[in-house]
Amino acid sequence: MKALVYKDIMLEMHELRRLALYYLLCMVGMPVLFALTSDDISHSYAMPLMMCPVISMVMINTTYGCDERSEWMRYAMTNPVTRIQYFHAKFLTHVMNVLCGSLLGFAISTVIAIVLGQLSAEVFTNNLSSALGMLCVLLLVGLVTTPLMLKFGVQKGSMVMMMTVTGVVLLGTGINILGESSPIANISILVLGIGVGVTMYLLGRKWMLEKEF
Amino acid sequence: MEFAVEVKNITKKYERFTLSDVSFSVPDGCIMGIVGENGAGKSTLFKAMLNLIHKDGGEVLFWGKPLQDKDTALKAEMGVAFDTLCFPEILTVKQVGNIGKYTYKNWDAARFQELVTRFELPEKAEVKTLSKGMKMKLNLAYAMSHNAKLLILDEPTAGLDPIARDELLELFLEFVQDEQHTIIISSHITTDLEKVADYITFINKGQIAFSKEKDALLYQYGIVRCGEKDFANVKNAGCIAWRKNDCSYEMLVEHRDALKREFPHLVIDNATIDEIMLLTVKGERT
Repeated sequence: MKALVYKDIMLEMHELRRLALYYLLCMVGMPVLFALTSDDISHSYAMPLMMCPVISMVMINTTYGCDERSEWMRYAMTNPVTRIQYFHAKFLTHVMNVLCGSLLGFAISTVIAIVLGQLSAEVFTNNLSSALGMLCVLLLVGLVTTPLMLKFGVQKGSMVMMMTVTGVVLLGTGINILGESSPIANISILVLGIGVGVTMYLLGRKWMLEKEF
Repeated sequence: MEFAVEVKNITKKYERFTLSDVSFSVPDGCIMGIVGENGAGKSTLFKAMLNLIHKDGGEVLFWGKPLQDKDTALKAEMGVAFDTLCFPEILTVKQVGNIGKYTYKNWDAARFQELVTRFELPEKAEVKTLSKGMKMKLNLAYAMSHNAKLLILDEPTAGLDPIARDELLELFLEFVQDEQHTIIISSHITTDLEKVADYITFINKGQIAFSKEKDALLYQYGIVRCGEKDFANVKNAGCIAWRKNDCSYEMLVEHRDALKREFPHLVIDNATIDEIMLLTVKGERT
């Protein structure tokens, strides 16, 4: 499994070097732009909390694309690697990505808040909870997308993934609106999230064991 | 005799193709060549052997044990190379070596380095910048650097120039020299197999046409070229397949020497694997 994660990290590093400027612009440039143009200055340091983990998460798509083009998965299965290990390795890469993204986002956000003279205990706590919340949401997204990508491939998988994530978000929002943020609605969202995650994980295992290469 | 691989009645059905009841055995320390035309089922057979597809019937034993997905120890005893290099193209040669290091417990980094040097592969080069021959060499360097006891190679010499092919064939012969290592190799280029294989298995339309010792094939089989007059006699005296040319018949016979004694006036040539394949596929069967 170590080799699988190593390979993914190498591919992502390559992608990172290639698109470094673009990523830098998204992670730092946009918050600066917000700081200069927005009336609400808190947007500028709240933004990296969302942008950084999302961009980090999206980088895993590069690995799916490269794997698919080179038929790597087929070859990996002839190595001492099990199908379930392969599935776990992809999810682990996803976890590492969003974890790094969340940490980076939190760090950038804190630095911007300091630079703008906005850092207080409240802002710090809000940023931390936002970063943790984002991390949880993106971990769930990983549990949904990993099996879909492995089952349907990059093209179809991305589409099914978008539809599924949108569906989950809409459902969550619906419950939230109906419950007007009541504890019951919050618990429902949590249960829904865990339910979707567990279901997709089990489906992913099943799909991997059935997959033909 | 101990077998490295025993393929028993493998069946895999697709909508337009069926790999049907395929059986053969590969003794330890030998090179088994798998031949057959495009679409005959060679790659499907390899996939079925390696559990990359689900079989509809039959089993494959490696040193008497069935290969299961969880059995990583058994997988580690094998080195596999497909006809294309399956590493993402933006990885470098060195990174491919690192993948091997993290994958196999018994990865031999010195051996990998030795092969990389021998094949003159630039370590820092990305896979996409390598030529087809170099990619195949990297494929083999990876497959042969963890002390595998068995190599499974799908068309490793396809598309390579004669010098590169010869280099690889030499490497295969070195690999089996101690008689502890086994190779299963599929190829269109039957002359390559004539040089290195101990056994030849011929697949035709998803079925095994024959699986025999190469020497038995080359020294027993013969090609009779005769006219109408001799055709009927030879046809009933051990002819396997035949075809009619403009004004003569070409016949594949199994026992060349026996036929020579029976028909001393006939010219019976040695049969190459190519000719055996061609007549078996294209000729009329008796």
